[in-house]
Amino acid sequence: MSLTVRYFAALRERMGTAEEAVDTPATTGTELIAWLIERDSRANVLEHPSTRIIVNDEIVSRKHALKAGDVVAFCPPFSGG
Amino acid sequence: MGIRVQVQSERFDAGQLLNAMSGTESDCGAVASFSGQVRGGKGLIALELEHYPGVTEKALLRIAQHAAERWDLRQATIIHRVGRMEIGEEIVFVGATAPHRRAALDAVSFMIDVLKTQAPFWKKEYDANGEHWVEARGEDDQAAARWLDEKEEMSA
Repeated sequence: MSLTVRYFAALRERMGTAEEAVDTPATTGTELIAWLIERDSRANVLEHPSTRIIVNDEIVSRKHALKAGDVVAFCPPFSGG
Repeated sequence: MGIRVQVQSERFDAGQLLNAMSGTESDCGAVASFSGQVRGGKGLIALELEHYPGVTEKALLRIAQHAAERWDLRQATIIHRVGRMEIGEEIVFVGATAPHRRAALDAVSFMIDVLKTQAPFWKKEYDANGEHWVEARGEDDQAAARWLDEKEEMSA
């Protein structure tokens, strides 16, 4: 299915892009990470437990079921304030 | 109950924000606030703040609403800057007004502690050696955990 994947801060720099459209068989965050790593090993940082996933503006767990058209954002730990 | 949250690149005047919150409700005995600014030292030249537009504002609104549900407040304000900031410049303002001081003080502590771990902002530091992303600090997690139930996360 087609998804929009976004990367923020250190992850954006690591992946070399802020946003990309992907067509993937992945149906969960965990599967999407595995698929991205297989495509490009630089994505291995997404596996880090501190990486947060925001789907359509909501923080979700990696088990969250993805559906076509979702915007999936990978975020390093927040450091505002 | 007045809630105001804002993400902006422009500088702000914490004193002005505090004055604007003061004296507006006759039943308010307390006005409390926190302002965070860029700390110099260790060769730091400047900070750059990145955020997730749209999602960050929602997260801040949820944090302020959470505070308003938990304490008897009249106003809750969160202003956070993004972009590049020099040493000494303001980063964030959090304020609350309430009939009583404990509510206002606790609400301000809650909002700034929770903001640090629950709102999508990222800091990059620039120094003589270049630039690097600031890593989240364990003590910030502990400060936020003080206010949140075990494993509870406020979604963005």
